Amino acid sequence: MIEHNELIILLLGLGVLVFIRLNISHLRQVTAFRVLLASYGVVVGGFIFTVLEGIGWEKLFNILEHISYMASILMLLIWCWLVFVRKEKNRQ
Amino acid sequence: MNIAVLDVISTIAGLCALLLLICRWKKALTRNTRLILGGLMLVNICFTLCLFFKWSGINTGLVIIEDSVGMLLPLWWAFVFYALMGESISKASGEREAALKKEITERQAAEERVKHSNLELMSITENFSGGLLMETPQRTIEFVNAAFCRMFAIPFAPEQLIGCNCREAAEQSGLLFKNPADFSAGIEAIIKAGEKTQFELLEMKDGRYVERDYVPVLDKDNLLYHLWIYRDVTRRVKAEKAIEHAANEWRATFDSISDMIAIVDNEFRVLRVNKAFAARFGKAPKELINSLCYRIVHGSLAPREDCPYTKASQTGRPATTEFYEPAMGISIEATASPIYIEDNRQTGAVLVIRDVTERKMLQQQLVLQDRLASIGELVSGIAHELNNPLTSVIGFSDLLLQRDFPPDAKEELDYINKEARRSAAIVKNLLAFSRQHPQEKTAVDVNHIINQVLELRAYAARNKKITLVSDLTRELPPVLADAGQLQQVFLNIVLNAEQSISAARGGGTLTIKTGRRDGQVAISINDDGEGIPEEFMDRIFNPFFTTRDTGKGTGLGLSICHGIITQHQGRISVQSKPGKGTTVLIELPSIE
Repeated sequence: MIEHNELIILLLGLGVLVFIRLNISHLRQVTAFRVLLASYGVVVGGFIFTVLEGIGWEKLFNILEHISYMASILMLLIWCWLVFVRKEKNRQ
Repeated sequence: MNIAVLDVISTIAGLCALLLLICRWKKALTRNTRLILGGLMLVNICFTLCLFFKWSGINTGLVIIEDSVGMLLPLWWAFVFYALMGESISKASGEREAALKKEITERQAAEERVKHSNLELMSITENFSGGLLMETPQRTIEFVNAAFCRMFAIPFAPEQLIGCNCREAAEQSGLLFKNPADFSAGIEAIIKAGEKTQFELLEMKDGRYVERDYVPVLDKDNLLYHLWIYRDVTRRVKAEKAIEHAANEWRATFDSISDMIAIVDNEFRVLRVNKAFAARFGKAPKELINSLCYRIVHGSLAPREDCPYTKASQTGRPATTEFYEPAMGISIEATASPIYIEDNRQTGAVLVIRDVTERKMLQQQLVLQDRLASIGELVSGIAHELNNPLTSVIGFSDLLLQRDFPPDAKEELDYINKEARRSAAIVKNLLAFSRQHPQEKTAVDVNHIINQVLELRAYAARNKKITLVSDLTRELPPVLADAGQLQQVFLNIVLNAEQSISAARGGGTLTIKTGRRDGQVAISINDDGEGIPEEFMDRIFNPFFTTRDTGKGTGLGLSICHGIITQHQGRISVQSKPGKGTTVLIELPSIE
């Protein structure tokens, strides 16, 4: 069964995607933006899997949801490393 | 798969990310962005922890928090993107601002440089001693400096001339030049050609000289300006003309010297010769440059041992050598004067070669005259001494001949008488030779004396089958001479000629000519007799020198002739070719 709060989270996530699309020209200048965008994309994927979890294949989508969150945080960690460590080294 | 493990990994990863952010807190990104990013990390950690607690079954009450945090997650991501976007915008605008500031700074620096360049250019043009004129392609003045106004006596300031018509100004300025039409036409022609010209020399009416350059100022292929540069080169041109004049004068002087002059280097190579030198060898002066001087003068492969240049090089002082040069057929006096440059180094020498053949001959004649004078004095004394006994011998022999003696004795007495008379004649000649008789010089017609001599010898010549030919110039100027002595001279020479003809072939022709030569009266007596051998030529005027058999000639004839002619300020010379004949040439100064 689809829960309202999960649907709201998904809508909020999609709204943020629209925001990103609208400001993509500025955001492209952010270091390793693709990694950050991918991280967010995977989170949105997790939101989708959460919603889909209520419709069917509950176990599969649940696993996919958790994998998505994990992947998202790992990519965020990579982005942080690229921004705070690698870029500094290059600058030096 | 245990879902809780995934959540644990997610939580640890979130913590790592948060730790990294804290460790590198001051590196990259702004403070606000870092805070928002840290918030995202915390939200993520909270969210994954809630999931972990939910799925591990530790505390199911956290589901409500999970929903709240889950709601917060996209919003926080939105904050992160918003913050990053703002950062990129501020970064871009910062970069733009920096670029703008840099551009402004560079522009200011460029303007400063242009200002400096302009000041430098102004300083150069104002202090440039030459006149500068820049005109547009439409022939209006764009720029002119003060020197230009001064040079052409323009009564305006340079600024007042800007915008004026250049064509009209050129026509007015042209009046200052010697050829105004050429000046204006020259400008038009140069502009039409459109090519850079340099060092065009113009002469002004006031005696100044101006040098003109033209430079077309181009921007790629577009003509922007005509630039004219005028320089007052009066001093330089006058100096050049003075140098040229001095060089010409020196060259003319060098070439007008009749002595042969050559300037040679240390290797005996000719650097310069004068015309007399070149003419002697039948060449132009240029043809002899770089030739070896000894090859030219002596025709040899090495310098003479007594070469004056070698001596001068050794002593460092001028050296002179006098010698007969067979290659040139003359006697020469060669003087070498070393040439030294500033550092006292010898670079060569000046060779002066003088033809001294005539001087040598004159010296020989002087020696001969001196010798004749000495002999004359000696002979004069002897003649005086002999005159008395000879008179006695002749007188007593005449008396004895009047007496009766046997024929053979009378014949011997007659012989004594004749020989005594011959001796007396010799003594008389000797006295004449020794100038014992004072001269009586009057205006004498040489032709008349020659006719007398020819009349005197006409009979004897006929007997000897000798044809006497006279080619006497009419209206010959008189000479101041002792007529008797001149008659003696001509008679002696004619007698010599007769004897020479008779000895050669028993008959012939004797020709006497008179004429004028260089203000003098010239007499030539030519015979086609046996001639005089070459080896005797330098002794024929010596007293007592004769080629005839003993007793047939005294050897005093030509000596007396020489003495008489010399006393009359004249010259006597003999040219002869053995077997062909002899010509005696006498020159006497005329009274005219």
